[in-house]
Amino acid sequence: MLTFVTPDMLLPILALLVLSIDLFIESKNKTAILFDTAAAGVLLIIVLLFNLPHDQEFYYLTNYKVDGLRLLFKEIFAISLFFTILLGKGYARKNGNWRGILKYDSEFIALLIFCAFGMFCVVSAQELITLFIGLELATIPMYFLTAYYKKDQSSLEGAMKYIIMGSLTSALVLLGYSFWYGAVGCLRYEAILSFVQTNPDNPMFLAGAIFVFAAVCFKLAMVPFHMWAPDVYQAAPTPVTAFLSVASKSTAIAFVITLLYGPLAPIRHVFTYPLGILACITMTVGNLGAMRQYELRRFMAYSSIAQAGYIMLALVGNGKMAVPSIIYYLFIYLATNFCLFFIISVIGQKRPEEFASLRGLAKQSPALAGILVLCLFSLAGIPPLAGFTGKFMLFASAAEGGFYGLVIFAALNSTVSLYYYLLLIKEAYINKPEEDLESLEITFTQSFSIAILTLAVVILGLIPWFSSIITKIVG
Amino acid sequence: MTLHRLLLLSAVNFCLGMYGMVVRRNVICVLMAMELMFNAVIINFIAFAHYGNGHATEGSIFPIFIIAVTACEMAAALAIILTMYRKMHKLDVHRLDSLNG
Amino acid sequence: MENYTIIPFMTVLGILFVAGGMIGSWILSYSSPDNEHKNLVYECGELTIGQTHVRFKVGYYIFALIFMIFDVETLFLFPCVRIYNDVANGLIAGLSISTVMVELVVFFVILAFGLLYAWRKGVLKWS
Repeated sequence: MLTFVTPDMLLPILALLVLSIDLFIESKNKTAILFDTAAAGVLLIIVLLFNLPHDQEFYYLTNYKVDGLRLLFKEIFAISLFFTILLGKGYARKNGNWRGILKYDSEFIALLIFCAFGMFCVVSAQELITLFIGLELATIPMYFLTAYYKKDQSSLEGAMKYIIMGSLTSALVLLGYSFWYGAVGCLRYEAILSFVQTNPDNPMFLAGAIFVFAAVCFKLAMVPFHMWAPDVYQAAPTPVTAFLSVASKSTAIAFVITLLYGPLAPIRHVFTYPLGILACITMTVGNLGAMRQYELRRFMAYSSIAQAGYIMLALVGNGKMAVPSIIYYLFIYLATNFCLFFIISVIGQKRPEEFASLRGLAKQSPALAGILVLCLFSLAGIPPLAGFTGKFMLFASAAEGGFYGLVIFAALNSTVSLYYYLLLIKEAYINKPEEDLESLEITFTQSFSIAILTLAVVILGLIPWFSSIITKIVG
Repeated sequence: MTLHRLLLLSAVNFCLGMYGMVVRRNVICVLMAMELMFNAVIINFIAFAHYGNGHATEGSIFPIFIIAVTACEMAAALAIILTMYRKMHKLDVHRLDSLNG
Repeated sequence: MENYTIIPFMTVLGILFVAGGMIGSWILSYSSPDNEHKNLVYECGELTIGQTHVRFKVGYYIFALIFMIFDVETLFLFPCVRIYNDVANGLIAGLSISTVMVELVVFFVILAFGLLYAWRKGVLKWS
């Protein structure tokens, strides 16, 4: 029965393996060996995850649960880890990025893998200690990864802000847990569930829930607590930004879903209105913020704040479609965002990652510009791309709960977002570059990943069986 | 000592920590304020474990994990502060503005 | 309904309490942007004798971190010790001694790897 947790066990082993390769093997192209080993290992883990039966439940030592929902989330984390490693490979070579070479490769990879392991723990936890440890394990390596360009002052600043905000989050989450423990007298999910069923409006428990909820808003960069996100995204190296925007965000969403559809299920309706209002404000602020940006990573930060708003909107519906639509959208979001970040990494080899650097892209590399357009349209939700189907399902889930006003508001917001995505396209196609551009060089890894991700962006929306499989597993 | 007094103590600690985090300008002081907040939570857990009627063991083991994790977090923060100090020779939070946030 | 009237009252009171404190401290305090005392590591307490900017070796910091590995290790052993007797007597269902031992070994392997890493990176050299 241990096969259910083999992927989880392999992750830390892989991290230790990568570190020991760095310690004990002397070779000229050690960087390539490290990245290739890690990528192969993570690929193996992804294959193992997909091969597990998604319709069974398994408990490891009674407090580590594996079932279909959790496997789907783990697949999201593992796939984004895989692409982050591929993305990082381009940054570890000479001329990989204008900010300099990414040094200390083995530590970089190992920290990423440990991070993913923490995310695995978050989804599988059946008890608050495991949940807390997992959440911290998923966050603390990110501090180091954000500060990875240690010669760069802004990188350090971003990391410092992230640490202060992150520690505040964990303090809040812990205060919430302590109140839960005070009310329930036990840390296990089933005990909390039975407590909530018998007395749904225990004031101490609700106070704890509010603290945990606030902390989740911090993690997700929901609006009153979103200020750290643009700074951190800008400070971090691009692979780390990609990982933050996809995997970290998915972790926070997984955290909310496992709680709301686990121990907190009887009082889920309490969160409906706050979630709806916060989701609407979040997408508006994200969209308005994105319009004023000129730095690509900062732009992606605001864009992902808006996306988090759309995703949280689905939870408001509170119906059968909520969880499947969110997971479906997360897969699409993963493909689209990583594709965009690969394009950014190609552009950022010799020029700063800014809007102005996109100028002349259509002339230099029509294929890359075309893919950029595809991804941006998918993020904006234009049919027939995957982003449209995903957003449609999210909104349908909110409509299922009868929140038509919110859905109309979100649809309007989505139209507004088209404006700033078009700004990027305008830079790539219409604006002329000021000086002659150096030619772009694409490594094999980059072109390979971009090809796969583009295929996913186009196909995931068109094939109907993908969403129906997810609905069958989760719904 | 009753549960109420301990909870009050922890609440005061937590608020002081939060206040210190907002007001202090030195990064080290901000970290110390953070530590205060974690300690408030630890007091909470121990108080509930002692006076509550649930599993006392779970409540008394959680603080151990909190201590360990906080130690890691502070180690991370100190490492970055050290690098930052070498670079900027200032530890003032209000000077962290090159990212226009 | 009577019970609910206290909520707006407490809200207003709460806002006033926070705002009053902040405005009060803003009025009463004088702002001193960057004097030398403010940038001291300790803002209050004893004045230091001589230069405070003595360079400590960064190595000490890393030594402290390695000490912490073993410090934290002892902490984590406590829960294990707590349940060891119960597990040995079969009081906890679904948990055998061998499982606990395997978990402990995994824990130690990861810890030892940390030390190995520090050693190979040359942190333990005293020079």
